[in-house]
Amino acid sequence: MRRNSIISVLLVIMLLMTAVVGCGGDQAGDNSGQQAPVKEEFVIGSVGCMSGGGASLGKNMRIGVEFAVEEINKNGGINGMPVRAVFRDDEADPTKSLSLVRELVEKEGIDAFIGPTNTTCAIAIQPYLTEKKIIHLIGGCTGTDLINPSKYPYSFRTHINDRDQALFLVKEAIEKGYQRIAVAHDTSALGMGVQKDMAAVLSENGMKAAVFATYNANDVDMLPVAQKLKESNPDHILLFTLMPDGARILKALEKLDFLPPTVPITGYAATALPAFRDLAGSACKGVWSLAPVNTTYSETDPGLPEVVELAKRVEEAYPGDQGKDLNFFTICAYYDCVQLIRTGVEKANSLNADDIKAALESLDDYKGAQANYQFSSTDHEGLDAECLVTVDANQLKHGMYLRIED
Amino acid sequence: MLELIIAGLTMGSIYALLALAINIIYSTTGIINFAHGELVMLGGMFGIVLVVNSGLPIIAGMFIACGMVAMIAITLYYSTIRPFGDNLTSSLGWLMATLGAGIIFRNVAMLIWGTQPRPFPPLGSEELINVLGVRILPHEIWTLVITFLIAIFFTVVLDKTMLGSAIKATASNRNATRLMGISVERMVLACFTMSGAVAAVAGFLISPIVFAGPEMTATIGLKGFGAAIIGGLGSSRGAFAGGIMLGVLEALSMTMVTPGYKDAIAFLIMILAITIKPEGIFGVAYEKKV
Repeated sequence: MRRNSIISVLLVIMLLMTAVVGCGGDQAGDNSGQQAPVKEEFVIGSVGCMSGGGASLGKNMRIGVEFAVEEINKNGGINGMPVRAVFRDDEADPTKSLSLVRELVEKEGIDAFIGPTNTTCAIAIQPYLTEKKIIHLIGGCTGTDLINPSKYPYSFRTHINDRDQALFLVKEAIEKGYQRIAVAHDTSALGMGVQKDMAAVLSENGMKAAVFATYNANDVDMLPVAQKLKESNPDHILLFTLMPDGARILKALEKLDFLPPTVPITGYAATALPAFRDLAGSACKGVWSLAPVNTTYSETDPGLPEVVELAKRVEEAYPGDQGKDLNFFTICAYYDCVQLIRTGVEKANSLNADDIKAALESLDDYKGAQANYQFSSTDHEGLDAECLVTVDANQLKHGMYLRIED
Repeated sequence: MLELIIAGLTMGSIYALLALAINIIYSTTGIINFAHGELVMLGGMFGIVLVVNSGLPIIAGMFIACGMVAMIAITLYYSTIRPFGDNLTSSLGWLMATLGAGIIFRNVAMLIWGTQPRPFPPLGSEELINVLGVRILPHEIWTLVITFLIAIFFTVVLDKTMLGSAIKATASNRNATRLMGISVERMVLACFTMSGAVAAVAGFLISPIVFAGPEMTATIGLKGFGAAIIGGLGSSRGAFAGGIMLGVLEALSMTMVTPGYKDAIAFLIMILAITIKPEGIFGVAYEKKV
């Protein structure tokens, strides 16, 4: 009898210990649990390049996140929880990026993650975020392979990927009636893949490229590339290049006196970034870029009132920048990242990553600052190329770019 | 065609600048400093700090950077080459040590300045000028002129001065040099100082063309070694000629093949030149004769 009592007491103690350990797991913020833990605040971790030559990327990310967080807190937070954003500088170093993300997850107990600003850093952190089941919003990296719902189920993107931008460039040029389209791109796997895709689009329209001028990424002397472009006598040049390479090509074209308005040149979205314009200097005058439609204006259309309002608020907060460091569509991309997290959590009414993921995947035509977003269980790219327009990034109004219209 | 030749001359000057500094080290130690490309990069990055961030005039910034990179070059000598003693040709330790030092320099630069390249102001005006119907930057002319002057300086120092004779003696036989009362250590240090200073000048001249960043000399560093070998290791005239030859041939080859094959063409030129004349255009005769 006495022995049975001891066993009963021991069993009760073990049961209590199991319950305590189980509760402890939830309090530590284990996102794999079924019940949403009660939290005092919702923490968003954000890592990006905030120093050195790429500092403007991180600065734009931070501004976008901070504006959205401030707005959400003013409106009562997410499901009543105030939002706190924690930022870290990875200096565009993938190793540093991973260790900072670990620190944010393990010490800060973040509920969602936004960033980073460089594709190589994103590649380094994605497996870890997936393992930890952290909702991950990418606002600036364009590497096509970063979005793969079966491999990285918690990663979503609010920016157009490289390949879609390349296809948009060529389709837009064809639509505008250009006949002799020349393309400059590097010999990397991405560059050569894009050449194949672009050639197919041209072929579908009964056309051939005037030239595909290739070069090795980070090549120093781009004059031969510029000459190949000029000799092909193009009526439009498309730049699908890394920022420094694109800047060097434009400088070489400047030497050949073959810049707009002699020939129109369009680069992909990165050529709108202040960092690119800084590198290319006077050679990027008149060069067109791509941007999401909502972040642009035209002579007749000032833009969506709520987006113009956001642009004015950013302009007021950073007077005198005038496109020196800030890029409005990048700010909007990160602003939308936070708003999408809020929407996902509110819709799921849970902090569980799988519930938030399912809520995001069910979003259809969500109205964001950049454009309208749509996700599904098989597609975590929020935007498609249809939301892009051609812009002149040198002509700013409240930080918004001038849309080029026919 | 003329545009390509001028571009080739500019690139050739850059290769020659690298080759000249590589040669001066080879002249005393008989080794190649594989961290030299990174010393050039440090010259460019110090330029960013001194000229772009602090607003110093380019010439003043260049002189200060020369001193800073020369100090680093001397430290490099004491940490990666001196420990292997006099008989460097019998050990390959210096090879790994200089290669490793180069990687450390690059990574430290990434930590301090990040990975993104930055624009750098050119020497002279930023406006293009017309020369024989070709639009070029005045900076390109300065690059060619400064490289030529440095090549003349090294030729005069090595061939016409006591210092040059002492350097050659050090390269030939260190023990005999010591018996003649010449400080071998001082000769080596003098060469590393000159090499570091030229690396800083090269950094200032290259940065406006390639943009300043930790990776700025990744490819051209290798071509600098190639130029030194084509011209003949140990010869300043050879380094200048090798650099210019490589730059112009590389540019002219672009009329026949797509620029995507540029690096392959450059290294093919190097291999052919070495196969035809292994000792280089100007050879290294003095090392054996002194």
